[in-house]
Amino acid sequence: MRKLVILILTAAIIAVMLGGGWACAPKPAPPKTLDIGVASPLTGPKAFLGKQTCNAILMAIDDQNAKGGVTIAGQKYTLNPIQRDTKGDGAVGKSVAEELVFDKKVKVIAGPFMADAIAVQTVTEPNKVLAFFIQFLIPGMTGPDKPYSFAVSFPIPQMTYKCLHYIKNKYPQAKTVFSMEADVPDAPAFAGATQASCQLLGLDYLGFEKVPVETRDFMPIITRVLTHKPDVIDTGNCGGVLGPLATLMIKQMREAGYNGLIFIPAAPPEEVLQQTVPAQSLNKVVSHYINVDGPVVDPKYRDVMNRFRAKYNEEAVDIVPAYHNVMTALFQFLNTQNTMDSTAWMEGFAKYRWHGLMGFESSWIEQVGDGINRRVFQNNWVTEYKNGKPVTDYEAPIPWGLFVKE
Amino acid sequence: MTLETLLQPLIYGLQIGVTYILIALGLTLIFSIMNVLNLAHGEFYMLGAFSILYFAGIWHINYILALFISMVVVGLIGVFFERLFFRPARGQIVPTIIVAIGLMWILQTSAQIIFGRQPRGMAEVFHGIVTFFNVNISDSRIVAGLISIALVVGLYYVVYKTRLGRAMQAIAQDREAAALQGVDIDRVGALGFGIGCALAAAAGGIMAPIFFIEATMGIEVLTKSIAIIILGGVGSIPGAAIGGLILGIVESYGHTFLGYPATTFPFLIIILVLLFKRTGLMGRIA
Repeated sequence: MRKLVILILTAAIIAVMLGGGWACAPKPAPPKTLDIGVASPLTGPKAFLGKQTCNAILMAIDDQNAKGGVTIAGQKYTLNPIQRDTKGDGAVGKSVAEELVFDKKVKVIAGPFMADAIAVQTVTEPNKVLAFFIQFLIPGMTGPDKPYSFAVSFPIPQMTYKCLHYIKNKYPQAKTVFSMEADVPDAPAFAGATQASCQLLGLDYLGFEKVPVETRDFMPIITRVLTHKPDVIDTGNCGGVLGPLATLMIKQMREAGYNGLIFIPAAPPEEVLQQTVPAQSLNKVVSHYINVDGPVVDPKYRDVMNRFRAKYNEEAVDIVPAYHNVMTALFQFLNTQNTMDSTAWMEGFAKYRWHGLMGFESSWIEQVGDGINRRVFQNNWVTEYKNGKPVTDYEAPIPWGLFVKE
Repeated sequence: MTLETLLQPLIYGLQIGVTYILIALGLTLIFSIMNVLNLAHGEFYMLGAFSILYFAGIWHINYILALFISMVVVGLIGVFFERLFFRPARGQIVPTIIVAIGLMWILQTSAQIIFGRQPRGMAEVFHGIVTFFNVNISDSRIVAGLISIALVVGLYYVVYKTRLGRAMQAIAQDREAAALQGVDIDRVGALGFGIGCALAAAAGGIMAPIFFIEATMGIEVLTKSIAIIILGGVGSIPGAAIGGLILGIVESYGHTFLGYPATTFPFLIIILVLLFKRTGLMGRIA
């Protein structure tokens, strides 16, 4: 009897201890919030790209939060975007950056463009805030002296190389290339990228003609270009700078009787191209534009583009998968971190490799042929228009000959 | 330098020049009858282009019918503005200029709000290219040239062979005398203004399928129109015709061989004519 009582009492004590232990066990800490600065031009002349950039970043943030956010040093964080409009303006960009860095204490800012990116950088670099921006051709915005800055945009040589690689393979009889470049500061760099790609591929580069941005009738310039009798006309930066007007250039090339290859490294808006250029003229046009239903396109890329279209009711330009790719990689990287120190993040992320949307392992390129460092390769898919329809069925190799990789 | 390199700018210049004639004729007509330099003339060209974009490009009305409708609609808009803005200021130079400038800004800004700021293209109406001596010209440009010539001929007929045209000439020569002869100055003036705007709209509608359409496209056209009527002689229809062809051809060769500096040619023409022959090539019809 006595032994039974002792046994029951011992069991009861153990039960109480275990129950009390559960009650006292530390509960998981509620997730905190990690603020991400999203600063892009939402109004003004660059609003079209700025809004797409902002939405791409927000999509990546939403996707990551749907997976439970990020966990850093054992602490869960829900990503919280803080959106601000830079208006594409330097002064506004600086003011926005100061608010995000000093008031909101963000450690990451993504989204600014050219003029506002330069201004934002004056705040992010000295304050060790990681900055991700579109940056095509302003040397000095990235580099060893700007370690916290990451350029999301396409390396221009990659854009030109992949299209010319396609042309060389599919049209071996095409030997000579002539460029038309919108007369803005980055024109020589675009032309230089085409020239370097031609050298690598054994094509003859004949030169380039500047196109004033005020041009509304391209016939005179096209007449001059055709005197060089090129097999390929490169429209260079015209698609990006002239926008819809670049489609008129293509239409007028065919009107002028040019039946050779046209390559568009900077694609104009697709719907305007389809509207302006007759289907029978939209042939032998090689472009960096991606038809997401193409057989070579990575399913993850296709998914992001389709979801973007469904959510925002507009076609995404290539800046959308570029940003989504990088921001998703950043969040994946943060999951591996045991510190909130932004310098450690910067050093680690600069060496990070990931499988994103582009169909191959991505990483940061520390030195690029055009002098802009810390870039990431975008996709290598190439589209050719056949009877007006974009067909994306070619993947070019990465042009290592144009880059020095760390 | 090949033959086609020399001939191509000539062909384009002729086509563009004929269309310039349309715009300039409208401007000179308004000036002749009403003594108004309609600085909003380029905006009626712009309205014509947008009208064609919507009528033919978006609503798929037959192009020629759409062009006619555009001319009528914009012509009526011109008549409305003449009645509302220009008639009260008639005879006063400075107020008329201020009214014209104000109307220009109103139309341009309204177009930017309604149609947006981005350039817009429309699908080609006439497909195909004609080639001769290795020189190419699209069917669109050939049709544009033919329509322009037809409208110029039509205007010539109206001005020189019809009662309305004789009334316009009478007012251009001597307003008071014309009134004393029973010409209804207000009605003929309004009609003349409407016809001038309709011609500008026709030019815009002709150019719309060839180039792009944007709310600010009127300014450049206005500058060229003024250069043409100064070159040809203010108030002279044959002068405007010759001036339009000269500017079109000179511009085409200039842009082909000199590039961007050719955009100064309209201004150079104005300066040279004012320096050496103020009445222009054919002066004003007396």
